[in-house]
Amino acid sequence: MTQKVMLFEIAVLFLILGFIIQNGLAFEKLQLGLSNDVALWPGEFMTGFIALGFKPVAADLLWLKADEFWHRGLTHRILPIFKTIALMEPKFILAWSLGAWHLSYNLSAEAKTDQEAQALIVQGIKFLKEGLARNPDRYDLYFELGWIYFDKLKDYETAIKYFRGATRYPHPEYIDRLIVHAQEKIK
Amino acid sequence: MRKIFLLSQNAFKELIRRRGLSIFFIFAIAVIIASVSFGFLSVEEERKFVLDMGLACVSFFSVLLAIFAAATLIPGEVERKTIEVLFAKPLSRFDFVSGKFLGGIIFVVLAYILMSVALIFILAIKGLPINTELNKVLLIGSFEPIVISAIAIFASTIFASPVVSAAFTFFIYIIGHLNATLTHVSEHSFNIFKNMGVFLSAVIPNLEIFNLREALLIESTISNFYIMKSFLFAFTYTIAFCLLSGLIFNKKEF
Repeated sequence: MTQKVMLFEIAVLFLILGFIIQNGLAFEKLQLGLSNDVALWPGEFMTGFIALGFKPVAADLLWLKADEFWHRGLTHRILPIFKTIALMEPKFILAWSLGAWHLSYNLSAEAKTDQEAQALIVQGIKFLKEGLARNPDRYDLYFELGWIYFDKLKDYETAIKYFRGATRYPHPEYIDRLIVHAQEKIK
Repeated sequence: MRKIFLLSQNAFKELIRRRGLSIFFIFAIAVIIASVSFGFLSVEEERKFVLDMGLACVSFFSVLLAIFAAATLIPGEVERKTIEVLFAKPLSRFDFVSGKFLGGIIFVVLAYILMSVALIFILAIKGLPINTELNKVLLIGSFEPIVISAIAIFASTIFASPVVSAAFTFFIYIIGHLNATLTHVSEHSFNIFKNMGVFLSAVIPNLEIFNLREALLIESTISNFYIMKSFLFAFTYTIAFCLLSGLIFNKKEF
């Protein structure tokens, strides 16, 4: 009997030890820059549950569908797909940047009025900001945001703000040059 | 020790002979090989697609194999009544559980290695880069089916039916992957749910710890310390569930 109690106590001890290590590892995973495993976005919990380990595969298949729509000229159908991909794989930078590009460039170019075009550009910016909140430690989305402000909205001060944000992380050289270009435009 | 080894050898041979498990394995390999069809994409996209498909298959099918292999090992002996013959010999119940568990682990790890080799082979054929981070991701991922095997063995000592044991383990697998959400939600709940959530998140291992596939997407470096700690994490839960299995199995009457 005593031996069984001792074995039970050892098992509980191992569970406690495992729990402590688990918490440490979850923190280290965040330090690696990986996404938080907590699913809080609408639909995120269910997509994770349904797709099981195949969430990235489901996102890839959606990516192929978006590509097909793009080649068929059905640009307006791409957006919900990009939003879903970004929801499934928030660290997939290309989904955020390409989704925003479609909104701010392709769809806004097809808009019938200036107001509509402007609204689509703003939507693109909003989409990028969502992506930035999920990927704050990479240069890519800061640059994309800065570029829309620079190229589309001609708001050079805000563009500089985002380009400077990009330079805080490993980045290509042309971003430093773009800051100077934007400063020249302000003058 | 020799008895455990002999039992594990026997369990391994038994699993190899099962057709149902072979079909899972062949299907997984076929899906991994089918990812060569992504050749029409750009190099970057193709690498992502092949890795996503391959790693998901290796992970999911190894877990399925672990569940169906480990959950049926002990009930199988009980159903065939061969367990009575075994216990007529000088064999402790702890040795029996350990032997079965070890046989299951060898089977699952071997299947995992073969599936990983198939994935690396496909990447090599396509001329896509194979880096050390991929090997690390595969190594850490291999700990998951081991923990799942331990849970399945534990379930098979509680439930007489292998179907119920497999279903129970599968639910644990799902909750294990949603462990972080469970902890977060329970922290913001009322007292009783809070305590229940904390208890469940402590007992059920957070299986997302073994999922580092995203590291390949964002090109981050996995430290050796993380590998060691995740091994330790898998080891502690495996030992705990094995001990609990032995204790429960010890009380059973046949």
